[in-house]
Amino acid sequence: MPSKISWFSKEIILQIGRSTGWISLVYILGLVFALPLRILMIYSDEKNRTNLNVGGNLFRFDFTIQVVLFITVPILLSVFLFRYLHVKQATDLVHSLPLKRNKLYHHYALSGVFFLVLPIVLITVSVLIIYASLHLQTYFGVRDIFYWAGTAILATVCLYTAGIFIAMMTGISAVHAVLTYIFLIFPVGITLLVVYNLKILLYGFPSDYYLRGNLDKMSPLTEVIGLEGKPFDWSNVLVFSILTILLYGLSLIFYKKRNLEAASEPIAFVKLRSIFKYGVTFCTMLLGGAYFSETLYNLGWSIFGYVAGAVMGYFVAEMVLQKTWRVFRHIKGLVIYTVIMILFAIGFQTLGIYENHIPKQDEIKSVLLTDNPSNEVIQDHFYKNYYAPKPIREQDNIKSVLKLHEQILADKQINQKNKSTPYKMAFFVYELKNGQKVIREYQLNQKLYDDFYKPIYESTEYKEKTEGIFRVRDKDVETIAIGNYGPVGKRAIIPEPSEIKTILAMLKKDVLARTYEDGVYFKGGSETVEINLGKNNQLSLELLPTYTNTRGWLKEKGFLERATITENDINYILVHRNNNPNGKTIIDENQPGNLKITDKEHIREALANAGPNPGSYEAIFYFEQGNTQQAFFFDEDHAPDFIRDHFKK
Amino acid sequence: MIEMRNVRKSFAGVEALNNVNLTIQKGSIYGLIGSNGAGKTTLMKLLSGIYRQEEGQITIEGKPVFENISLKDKVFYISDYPYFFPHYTTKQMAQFYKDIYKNWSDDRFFKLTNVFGLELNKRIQSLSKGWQRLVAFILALSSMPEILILDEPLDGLDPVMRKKVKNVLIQDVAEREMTIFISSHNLREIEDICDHVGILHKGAIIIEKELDELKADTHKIQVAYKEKVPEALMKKMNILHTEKRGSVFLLIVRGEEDIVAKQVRETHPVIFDLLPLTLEEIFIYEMGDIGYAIKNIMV
Amino acid sequence: MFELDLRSRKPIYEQLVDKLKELIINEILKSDEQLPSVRTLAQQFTINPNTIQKAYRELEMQGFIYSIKGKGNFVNPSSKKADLEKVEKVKKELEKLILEALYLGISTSELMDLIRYVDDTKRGGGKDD
Repeated sequence: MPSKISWFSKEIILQIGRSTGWISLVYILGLVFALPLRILMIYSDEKNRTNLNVGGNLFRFDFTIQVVLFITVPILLSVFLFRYLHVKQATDLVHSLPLKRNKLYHHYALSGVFFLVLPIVLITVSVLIIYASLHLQTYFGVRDIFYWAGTAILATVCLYTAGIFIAMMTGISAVHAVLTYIFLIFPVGITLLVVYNLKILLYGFPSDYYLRGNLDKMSPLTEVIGLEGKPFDWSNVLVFSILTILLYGLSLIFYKKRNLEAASEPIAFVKLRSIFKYGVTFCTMLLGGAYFSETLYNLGWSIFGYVAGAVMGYFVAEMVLQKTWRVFRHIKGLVIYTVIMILFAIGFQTLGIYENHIPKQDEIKSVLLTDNPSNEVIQDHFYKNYYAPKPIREQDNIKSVLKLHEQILADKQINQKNKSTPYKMAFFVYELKNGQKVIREYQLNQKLYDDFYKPIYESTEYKEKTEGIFRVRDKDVETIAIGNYGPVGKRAIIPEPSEIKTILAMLKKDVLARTYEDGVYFKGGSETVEINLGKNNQLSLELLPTYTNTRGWLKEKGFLERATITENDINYILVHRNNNPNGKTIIDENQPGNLKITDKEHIREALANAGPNPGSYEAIFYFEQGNTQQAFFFDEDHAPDFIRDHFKK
Repeated sequence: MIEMRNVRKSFAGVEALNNVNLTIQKGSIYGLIGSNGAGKTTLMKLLSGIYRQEEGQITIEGKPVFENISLKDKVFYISDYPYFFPHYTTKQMAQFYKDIYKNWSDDRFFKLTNVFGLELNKRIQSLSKGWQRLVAFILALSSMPEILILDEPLDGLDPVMRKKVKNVLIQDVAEREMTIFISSHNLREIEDICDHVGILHKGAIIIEKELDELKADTHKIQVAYKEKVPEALMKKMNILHTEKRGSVFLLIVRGEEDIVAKQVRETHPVIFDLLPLTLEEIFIYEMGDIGYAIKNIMV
Repeated sequence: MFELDLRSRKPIYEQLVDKLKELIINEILKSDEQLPSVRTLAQQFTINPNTIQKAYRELEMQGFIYSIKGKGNFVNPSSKKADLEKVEKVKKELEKLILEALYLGISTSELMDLIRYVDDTKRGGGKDD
């Protein structure tokens, strides 16, 4: 009887096929729609045949269908395959047979792999046939087809092994499915929760620094969802392969350890049950706290959020474990948990050390101060070269930064309360002489700190380290475009190298001369300078009305009239007092008390002083051309005399 | 020989079996009785190598059962609710078992299905409960096990079928010296077919004996005297239970039949009758402390 | 050949022993005749073969049968002991009945008369044959 001694049992495979083969069938059908059929459809539409050009990424054909299949089929398959562990009678039957768990495991797990891989292989073959017969070389290559197939196989098999792993941990199929997704998303979720909560608990905790965009790397699930946009590179291959092998092996180990009576128990291992219970309690506590803090900024509500989250999580976990909703008498664990958390919270207060720690001036090598922490992480080469701010090193400037930082610390109460007012980020990265880094992040109302920002932002060093214009080398510039992106677009292009050189010099001079107040007041205007550095790369900066050197030269050369809005473009201006400090109001043209400016000289003066950000006066500029208008503002400092005078009355 | 020594098993901290000791001789039909929840099914699943004990040894011919493939090949377990793969026909199920069990006999399978008139190509799950059980029996016997473990096996079978099934089982015991381990809460069923019984109560085997020995040891006596009942006799005998029905005394006495009879006759009773006990009665009278459990069994 | 009462209180094994003894004593089973195999009996009555085995062992011990390995069980020709057993049994039953009769007020001499009468009729009956 050689077949009976052999390792391979035909009948088990047959049984698996009969019970789960349909999933594979559904999978194939879905993929047929997403790929071969879609390709044929696009191809038959001759006008739009270029839609076949997907940049070599076949995931872009009906990605929604593909991604839904990729993230559901492997989990579904694991759920149905390992149902024999979760249905009591099936478990008893299968394990009363003279088959070792080893053998059962490999039969079931590997059949699943086969059911996952087979559809991809069939689709790959069919796409290859279509590819060869329709000559699709112009749109994508054979390599791209194999990239698709390989990635899809590795990704789905990896998710599938995660499903197997969870199958060993639980005894209920529904819990199996839910828990698998939670397991897959857990690294991302817990990181988010912990960081958010540290941000709430610790004044100055640089949450955005820790959440720097590479979170999807932490979960295979998010990686798969991102397949449309991101390449699946060799590091991904390595991580996914290791994860797959690891989970496959671990699952076998846990299968052997598993007690079969765990069927119909939500958590199969007794020791895991408390971990599950308190884990859920902890996570929902963090979630509740984060939710209420983010939406209400109120200590009372935050505490409520923590408590409500913990209580809810505890009872939900208990309900799942006990398989009944009558669990409200089991509060012993919750009481113990609460005590521990209170002790933990008290312990946290001592972390004032963290909050109040600012390095001493003589320890600091350099400091980076910015309002946009994501600068730190953007990987784009060009962006890094021209936009990313660089740390400052001059002692005076470091001193100014420390002063600002100290003031922010002193204002802890104010800054934590006033989160709902318009705020800015203050992001500090100190690099110490001993190589360590101290990173802090605050949200604050920058206006309150004008006095502290002014010396820093006006310093030559700071401007040189943060403004891209100082990193531009004359010879790299191909052209410079001056333009206006208001309702009436204007644009002048300067290709002449000598002129480029002059403009760059003028701009540097103007930027260095810019005051802190003007920088804030004019920020966000619609007149820009675009420095074209070739290869589709361009550096743009705002052309402020105060850049007199540049503007003087441009006017002289006749570019200004062509590139910017001048008094000649404006028909008239309507000014009224702005009662809404945060935004625009709708102006009724006939409202009494409004000031209508038609004098060209006044219009010119208004243009030179109008800022884009809400201020005391709102001014609607009506253009000559078309029926267009644009809103500007004046604050008391910048409003021309004739406006101020008008409204004094 | 099947042996369980100091076996303990608990579920999530709740003890199901504690310190179970049990011996089953080869070729014997061993009946396990116990109230609902006494741990019968747990014990059977341990013996079938499905569950794993926390402590103690479970051995067949001296070898541990758990994950022991060569042993499990000789053991067949039929659970209280026989399970078959969804949508499987009897024939498909038979093919499955044929692939799994080394000693499977096609010959026997066809003989048995013939005897019982079973349709091979019907989905098992569409059959009635009784027929499903019969399918389980046929599949079990066709895989020619040396040990057959049956959990509440005859539930749902009509009397004719019951007799037929018993007959087939007995044939295997007689011919191949198959051992049967059978659990039931029906004492009559056990009494008919078993040669050994074990009674499981609160997670332990409290009695394990040969059925005849149990019966030979306890007797029901009806006596009546003209005058008072002789005190001396009452003291001499090992009386488990006394009951007065009119002038007739009903005694449950432990001891050898001949000796007991002689002792009574010496006192010249007017009426004297000595009867063997049924299994039910033995349990009720002999095991007063677990009497309630027995009553549960008989309900 | 014989019937077993599966519903009876009397253990099956005892019933078997008694029935077989009866058959041997009454010489329905002749000397050296082979007894039915365990298998046959088990199947015929749907009873545990171990019980039958046990009954045979008991009969062998009491000297009613002998077994030959691999062949089966046979009636022992010198089963005189069988009669002794029966005598003992009858005596016991008589004892019981006599006791009852005495209690009912039948005198000893009446009983003696009865015994003589039964003995006479038996002889007479024998002559009639």
